[in-house]
Amino acid sequence: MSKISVTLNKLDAFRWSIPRTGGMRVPGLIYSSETLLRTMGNDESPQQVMNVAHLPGIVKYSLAMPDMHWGYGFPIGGVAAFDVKSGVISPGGVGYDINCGCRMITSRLNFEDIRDRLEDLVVALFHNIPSGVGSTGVIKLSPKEERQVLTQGSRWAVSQGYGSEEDIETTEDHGVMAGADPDKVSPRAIDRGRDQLGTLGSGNHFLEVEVVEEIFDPEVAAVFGLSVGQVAVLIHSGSRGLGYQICDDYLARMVKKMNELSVPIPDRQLACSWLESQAGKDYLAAMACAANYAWANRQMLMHWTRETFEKTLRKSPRELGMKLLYDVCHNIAKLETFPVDGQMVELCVHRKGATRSFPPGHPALPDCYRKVGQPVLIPGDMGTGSYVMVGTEKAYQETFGSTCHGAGRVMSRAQATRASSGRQVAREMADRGVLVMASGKGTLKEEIPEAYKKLDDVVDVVHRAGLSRKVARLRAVGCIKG
Amino acid sequence: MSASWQLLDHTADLGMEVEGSTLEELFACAGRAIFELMAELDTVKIRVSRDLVVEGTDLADLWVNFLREALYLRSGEGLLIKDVRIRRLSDTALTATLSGEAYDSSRHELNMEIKAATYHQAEIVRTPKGWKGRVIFDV
Repeated sequence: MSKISVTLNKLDAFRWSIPRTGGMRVPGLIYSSETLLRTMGNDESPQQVMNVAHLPGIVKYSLAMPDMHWGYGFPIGGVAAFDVKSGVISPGGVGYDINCGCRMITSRLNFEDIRDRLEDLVVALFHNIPSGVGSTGVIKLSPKEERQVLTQGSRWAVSQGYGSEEDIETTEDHGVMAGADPDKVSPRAIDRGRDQLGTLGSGNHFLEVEVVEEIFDPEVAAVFGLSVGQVAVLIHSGSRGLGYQICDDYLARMVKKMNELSVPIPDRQLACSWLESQAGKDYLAAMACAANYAWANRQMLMHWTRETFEKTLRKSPRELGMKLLYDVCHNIAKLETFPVDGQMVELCVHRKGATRSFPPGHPALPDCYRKVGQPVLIPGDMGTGSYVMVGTEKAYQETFGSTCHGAGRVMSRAQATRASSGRQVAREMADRGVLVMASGKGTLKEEIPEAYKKLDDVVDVVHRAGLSRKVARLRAVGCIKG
Repeated sequence: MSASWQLLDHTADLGMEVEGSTLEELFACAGRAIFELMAELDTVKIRVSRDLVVEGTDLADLWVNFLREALYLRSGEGLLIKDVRIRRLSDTALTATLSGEAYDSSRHELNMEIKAATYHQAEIVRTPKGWKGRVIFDV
């Protein structure tokens, strides 16, 4: 495998461009900092930014956010928009975990209210939220029910008693993506989805109990209902085996037809089809099913979280006031309209490890946030806590309404396991004030904090570059991992 | 017969490099390796077998497709595999028999989940000693 040298031209403190060379249709544009770029080492993500720029119909540039790292095909942290008439859709540009995302639930509790009950709370959450390798849930869907999940998303979950109408209001796209067609989902994917609804999964997925530590923007924080000392919960999960199988199925189908595209593509994992082709339309219809499954999944996980708080703390829903602040997806392709060269153009925006960041006034926002902008949730690595940010006009103009999605790995899982050999990771976390429980025996070692870029550095770049603005920082006090 | 595998460092995911003196050994070793990664195989008995017929546009495509099908035996059928035999193999097609048993949480220990075998940098090359294959998994 030959490595091609990558030229990075510094534009300003936070932006580097990669000039068009060879078959690139547009330049690359990377948001980062000197500090973050230094940590990249042999990471091949800039090369991947260039590879994505080869895809037909790509508009303006191939983008990467500061949490960028080496993925397969697209870089993680990559954003690319394609013209709906002349462009392509790439399952690899969405990723295996379709609509992987996170949601934050705020509460009326203060840390002092749970300090003495924290251990009970974490243990109860660990027992009530199914997690771990290949975890199956308490629910077995009938074929008819599964079709309803795939077409209705969060609304299905709410109709079954998991949460309320208000939750739907504060979920990206109201927790349902249009155009979902279960007939475009393979029997294999349907089968894998049947018993995994309502499970957290493994790897980097988690549920974290957090406390608001700092407020940066009091005005927006007030609208989001955030205040210092307040207890919140962050849930990070996706579409489980159903989504992985849909990605796998469509990648294989598109790889087989790559020669029909008659465009040379530098990496098979970037296999794609014209948005207007049958394969492209079928993938979008199947992807929407997985997106809906993921929203229903997070809605159910949130419902059990609320129940666990009620039972463990013996408080009523009213006393707890556990409200869904927002739910965002960070592995998705969306049909959205953006200004390009002074005209509004309909584009298919791929966000592979990137979060939507819509500005104040955008029609896609719920009424309660329309004046201030979209809540942007940025999870950290295990036990670090997270940031709540708010969407901006700059992101709308410059990055197809996108910002970063997390900390981003700097160590491979194998490196992290070696680096943590002989260490008691759970004990180390407890010493830092975070109670951690995990299902998988290797998970804690793979997910040690050093394996990730510093969340503060990543968030600092998007804040200063204007792609989203800091509202609050939360620290973790309890964490359950798959 | 000689074949071996090792993990490669890849920040997003898990890479694997496999060497074999023949292509059949290379494929069989890789098929077994993914199950060694996912579970402790000592307690797995051979009770059931599955025949796979896999096609690819070339050797690298066949390689990824074979691993995709082997992974589905775990994710779709809930099997743990400890024996892989390649019956027939060309550059574009193979038949194989994979044997093991259904996962039973009371007897078997799982280590990790492999979501998928990706096409990214997947390749098979000739070496002086035989063949070398590379694949990156999403985990």
